[in-house]
Amino acid sequence: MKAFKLAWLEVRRFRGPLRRFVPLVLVLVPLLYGSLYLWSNWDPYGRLNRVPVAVVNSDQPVDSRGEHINAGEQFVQQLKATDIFDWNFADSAEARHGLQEGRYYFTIEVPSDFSTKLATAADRSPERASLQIVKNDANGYIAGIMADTVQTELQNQINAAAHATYARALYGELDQARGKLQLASEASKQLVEGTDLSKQGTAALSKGLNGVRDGTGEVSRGVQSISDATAQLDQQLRTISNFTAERLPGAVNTLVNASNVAVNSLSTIKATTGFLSQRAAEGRAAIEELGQKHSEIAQDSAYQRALDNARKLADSAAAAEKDAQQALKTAQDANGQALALQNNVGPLQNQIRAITAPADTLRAGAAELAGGSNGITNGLNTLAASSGVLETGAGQLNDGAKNLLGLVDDTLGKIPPTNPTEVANAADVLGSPTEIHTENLNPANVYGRGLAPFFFAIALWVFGLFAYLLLKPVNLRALADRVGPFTIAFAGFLPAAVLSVLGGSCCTRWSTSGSGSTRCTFGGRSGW
Amino acid sequence: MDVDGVAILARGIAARGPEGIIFADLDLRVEPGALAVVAGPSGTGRTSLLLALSGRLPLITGHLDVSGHVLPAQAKAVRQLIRPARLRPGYELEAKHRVREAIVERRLISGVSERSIDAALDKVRIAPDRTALIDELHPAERLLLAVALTVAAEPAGILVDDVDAGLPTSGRAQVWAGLREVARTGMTVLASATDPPSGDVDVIPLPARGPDRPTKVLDLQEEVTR
Repeated sequence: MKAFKLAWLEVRRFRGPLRRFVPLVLVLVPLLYGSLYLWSNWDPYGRLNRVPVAVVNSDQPVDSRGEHINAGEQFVQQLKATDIFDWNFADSAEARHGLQEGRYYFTIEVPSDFSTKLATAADRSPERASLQIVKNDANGYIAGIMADTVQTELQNQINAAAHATYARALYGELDQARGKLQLASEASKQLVEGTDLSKQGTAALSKGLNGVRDGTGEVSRGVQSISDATAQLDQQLRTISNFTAERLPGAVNTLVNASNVAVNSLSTIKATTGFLSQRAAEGRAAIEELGQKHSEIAQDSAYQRALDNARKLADSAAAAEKDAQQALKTAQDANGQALALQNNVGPLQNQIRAITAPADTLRAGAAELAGGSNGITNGLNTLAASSGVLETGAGQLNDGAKNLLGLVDDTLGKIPPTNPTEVANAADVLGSPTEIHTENLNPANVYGRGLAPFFFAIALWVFGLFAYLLLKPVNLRALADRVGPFTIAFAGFLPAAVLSVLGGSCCTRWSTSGSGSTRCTFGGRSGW
Repeated sequence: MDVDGVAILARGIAARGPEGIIFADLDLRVEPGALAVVAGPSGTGRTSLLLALSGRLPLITGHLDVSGHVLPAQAKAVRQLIRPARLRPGYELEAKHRVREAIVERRLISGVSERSIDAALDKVRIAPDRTALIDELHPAERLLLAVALTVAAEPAGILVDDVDAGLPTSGRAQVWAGLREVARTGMTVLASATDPPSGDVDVIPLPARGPDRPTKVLDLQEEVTR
């Protein structure tokens, strides 16, 4: 209990307008320090997008197998799409300078052969493309650690870009292989067609041979027919004189027809002359009647002349009718004779036909012979044509096979090797197509050394707290005398300044000798 | 050494500190070249009065005139006229300096010559070992050294607080004798002491307050009644 009372008495000591706040201020000190320190370290990676990082793209785009590969630019575009860091796209010199000056926390450099190496994806031995990250721990070790933590993500992004490039290259290769296979397929088709042609040729050849055989049979039959017909012809040769009688029936018929026509014509003429004679008689009668009725007219000469003419006409018409009668009778007689002649032609015709039948057989045989020889010729022609087709087909077949072989060989050459070592290497490179080389202008190597500047600052701050507990900040004697306030303040500041430089140097010397490093990351800066 | 000392005339002055009223309704007059002693027990506001008279503590009321300078308007001029030799606590020589270093410091801050300091030491009749620590000096000698260092700059007045504190009788006599020598040059010496010396001094008595120091309570009551 005594201890508690004594403790309470110690607290009671703080009386007065300001002194009573001393315990309160003490209570707030941990809050002040803790909140400030925690706040500054609460989320060190939360504002990465405000950390300036230089990106240098020295990549040279390449054209490989018809594909334009610009992986560096693609990478830059990917970075622009993200805001992990505050990307600054700069040239190499500016980036290096900015890194040394502390304007950038680190730099990412895409080397000039980035695309070139990625383009080797489809080669037998693909190369791994690399990126260069340069850090500077003198600008802050934490930023370097942040670079390490996002390195995986960066690697993923770069790999994604690389894989896209690979995919394009490989698809280009596939397209080419597909083209070659298409050609091979066409060549196979030609080969098949060649086989077809030769089959057709063989069929045509056998057909031609059949034709030749048939033709030969026909020829022998035709020859037989000819000899038979010749024998018959010999037998019937004596009746050949009547052979010409063949034309007789036609002539006789013509004659009959002609006499018929003549009879008909003469009939018509007789009818006409009859009619005319009748008319003329009627005319003479009419004139004579006129004369009898009118005797004064009968005395007229004109009437006399007309009557005379009419009598002459009537006489002529009667004579013509008589002549026509006579002619018709004669024609009818001739017609009767012609019909008799026609009736006699039939037996004559039968006789002549007996002669002509063997001759017909002969002609048919001869025709068959000609046909047979034609068949032979055609068969031989077909045979020759078929041989030609067969030869062409065989040639095409060979060409097609050769084409196919060439294409298959060519395509085979394009397909990556199957040597196990090479396959293992290629798979390794394609699986992780890029690598990130890191470099450090001022490597801290170990965590403690990286954080040394930070803790040196805290150490010097503590120095400041202690220094003015022990040192007098103001010389009161000088203050009461004729000395300027600036001089008094500066004089009060100098001892602490000098001592802190010495203290900082001691601390630095210890830490650098402790880690055995070669470069001092923190000079004798004072912490007030 | 011949100095025009300051003349001080105060009418009804009062000052207030963090603990309340220090002194109130005080009248006094100090002639140039006088040795004036504010007499009273420790804690009665002697130091505060010395500070107020030299323009280093603001008054809340009253009229104060120092050689024609009216305070508080011309406090800065008055501070230049009246320099402290010792004020307790706060203004003392550094105990761990050597005498030599104290002299060097004073030459730096006051711009006085070595000769002036030697003259001032002669005036107060001491000859301290220059290599001795201030701490090692006899208290009387230590106080007189502080007085001499201030006098060397020949101000019109000096402040010497707590003259008899921790001094044996012989030491007191020595100090008062030294201060009289200083006052004899025309310099006004404002000192404070528990017991004023007998003889040729202006004693400024402080109104003795009760042992319970009811100033603060009175102050509050005043404010309530106001």
